Amino acid sequence: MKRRRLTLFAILLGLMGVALMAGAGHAQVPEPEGYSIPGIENRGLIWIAAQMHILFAAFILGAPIFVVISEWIGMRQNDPRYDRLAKEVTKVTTILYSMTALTGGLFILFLVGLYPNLTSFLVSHFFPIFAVIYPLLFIAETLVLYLYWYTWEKFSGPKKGRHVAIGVLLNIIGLTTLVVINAPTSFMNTPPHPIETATLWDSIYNYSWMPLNLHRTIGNVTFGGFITGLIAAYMYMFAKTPEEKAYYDWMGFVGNLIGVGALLLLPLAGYILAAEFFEFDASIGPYMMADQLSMYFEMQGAMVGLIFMASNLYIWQSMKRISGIESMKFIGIPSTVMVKSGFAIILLGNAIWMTPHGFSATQATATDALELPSDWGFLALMPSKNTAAALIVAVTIINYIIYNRAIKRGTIQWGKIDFASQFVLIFLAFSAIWTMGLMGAVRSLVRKYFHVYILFPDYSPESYTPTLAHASVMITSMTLVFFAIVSLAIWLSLRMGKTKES
Amino acid sequence: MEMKRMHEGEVMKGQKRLFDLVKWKLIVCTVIGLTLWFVSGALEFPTVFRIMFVLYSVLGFVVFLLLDLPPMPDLSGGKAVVAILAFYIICSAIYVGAGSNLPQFDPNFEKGKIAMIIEAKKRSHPDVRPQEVLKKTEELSTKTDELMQRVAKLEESMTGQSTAGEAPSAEELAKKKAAATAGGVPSDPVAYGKEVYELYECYNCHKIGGKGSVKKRGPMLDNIGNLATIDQIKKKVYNPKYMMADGFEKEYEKGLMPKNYTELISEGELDALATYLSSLKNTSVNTPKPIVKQP
Repeated sequence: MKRRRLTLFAILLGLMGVALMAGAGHAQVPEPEGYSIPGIENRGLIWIAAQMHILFAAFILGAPIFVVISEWIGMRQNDPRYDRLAKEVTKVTTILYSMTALTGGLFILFLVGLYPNLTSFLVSHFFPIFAVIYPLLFIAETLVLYLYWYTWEKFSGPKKGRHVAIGVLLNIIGLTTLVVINAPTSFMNTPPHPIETATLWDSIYNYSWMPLNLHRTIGNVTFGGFITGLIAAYMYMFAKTPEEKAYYDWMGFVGNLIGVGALLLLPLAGYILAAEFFEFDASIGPYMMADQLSMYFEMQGAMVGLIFMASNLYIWQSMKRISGIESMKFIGIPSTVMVKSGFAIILLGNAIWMTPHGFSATQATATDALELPSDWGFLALMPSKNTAAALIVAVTIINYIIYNRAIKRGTIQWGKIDFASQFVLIFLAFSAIWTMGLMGAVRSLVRKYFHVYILFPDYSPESYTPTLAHASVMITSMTLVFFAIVSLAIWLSLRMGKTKES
Repeated sequence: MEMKRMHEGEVMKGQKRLFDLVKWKLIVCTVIGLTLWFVSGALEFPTVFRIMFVLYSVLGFVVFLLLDLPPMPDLSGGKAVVAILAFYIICSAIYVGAGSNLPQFDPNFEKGKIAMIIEAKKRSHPDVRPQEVLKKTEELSTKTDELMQRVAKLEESMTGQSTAGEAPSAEELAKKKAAATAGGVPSDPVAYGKEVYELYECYNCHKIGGKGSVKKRGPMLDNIGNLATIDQIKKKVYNPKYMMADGFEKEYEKGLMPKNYTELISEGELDALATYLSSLKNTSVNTPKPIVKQP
């Protein structure tokens, strides 16, 4: 009897051991976590969902900033063109708002399904934001956006001020939403240390939160400006009357002005963000500028140079439609010569900006044979890059000053701009959004194999840094899809609407 | 006939205008491109940079050509749609082409690195769960064996038959134990240390054997084995302020060396890394002398 009990006890103990092993074994099964869809990596899916969401969100948050300013200028100057611009951009915004919500929902679904542990960690860490503040802001943003749109006619004339006030409220909510959601985003890059004693505020007000707020706000205005240029370009190309052409020519100019105006500040905002990353962890700097992400920055240099070049080309084309300025001079030099010389300076600035220290995609393979001669190493250092950026920005500002003088002396022939300029506007929108995708990828990739840097690792086999070739294909594909949807939205809201009205 | 001749005349005029437009720009940009090519060659720029300089002059040609091109005729309807689509395709092709033609790292190397990290984490953390489980398994297995032996003894005393053979022998237990601790630190700590060096991308700031850090953020380490002890190297990695390389005052003051290695590099990995670095004794390379700054 005693033996049987002992045997039973031994078997039970053994079974418990097996159960414990199985249980503990199951509990500690390492990543991959969540579901995986055959044929595409989880990180790739999240990349697509997040980037598509951010592209739409950037537009619906950025556009209202200058929409309300445009409406206000229209009210102050009694110029109906500004009000029309504001209204047309808002019309496109309302359509794209649903796309923002749709892609946002998709992004959350993917996060929960593919990365449940990370999602759970982030939601529990920022519970008040995810459970209360963000949903409330989203609801408020939706209500105020529709209120803004549907009261356009009602609050016109002497009541216009009320409508502008609703627009201001929309922007306050929009910016608050951006700042709030930037908290977990920036936290993933630069979490507070030590996390055990960090308060919610410490996690929100982390190293890169404020720089990200600044960078994204300016970036969104740039983005909105260039999309306005895109809307204008499409509408100009298909305009039926000279009046329509004149209006959309003007709208394209304003869109480009907003885009370029905000773009001038972007290098500085980007620099501040990168400097904060570097301050947070010195190893991020070399990883971005010298190691795996260095060629991403080479590409960024090329893109920013092209964008500045294109925006100045647009100014050049715009000047050609001003009559009576043929003999105009700027500081004693013919204005045409001045603007052309500016292009030579932009080319030089861009060449310096793009010159890397070495042509190796990773320092692991870096050799002297691929780097600048030591006497010329200064070309790759920050003082040279800052000088180059300053040169490009200065030339752009001077060109706008020349343009401003030209419109005071001559007569603008709206609607007579070179047709090729519309392709410049499309190019600017496409390139700006492409660059945004590229830099967004960089911001995510600096976390290396961590979901939350140093704190929450991602040891899945796909957490490697993709090559620039891979990233270029991804970014181009997503930009094309985004453009297809935006083009459809413009067509539906403006062209179809016009046909109906006529 | 007259009309046809007039049209031909217009076309010829247009071609001449275009030729005039291109001619001087092409000459100037070719001269600039060739000058850049030869001057940069004389200044010992690597070929890849020289190609880049020539490409700048090509870009200059395109930009100045665009500035002087005659206005484009208006497009409408289907032609405009086709032109827009073609334009998007061209832009996309240029961006994908540029992104793909810049230097790339080997994605398989990157994937391999992740595999190495997972492997390193598995074997370097003594407190990770797999080992806990194995330890518990071993304890339980020992307890079960003891009980089985007691059962066997009891049975033996009752029946006079031996069942000791059913319980695992000490040798088998030792084998089990060995199996349980398998996956520890590799037998060659120097090779493992080199792996750790690459895994944590120390080459971003340091150079060994002429490879790594083109920006010279940190000292070359080829002769560090003759200048610092294993303990000193370990202390430096976990506390970058502990030592400073002679001549790297600015970098030291700026705090360029990351201070989060205590969180990233386990003690096992640190041991291996320090062992590897202390094995580097190439006196032909001028590795700067480390100066102890903190006790």
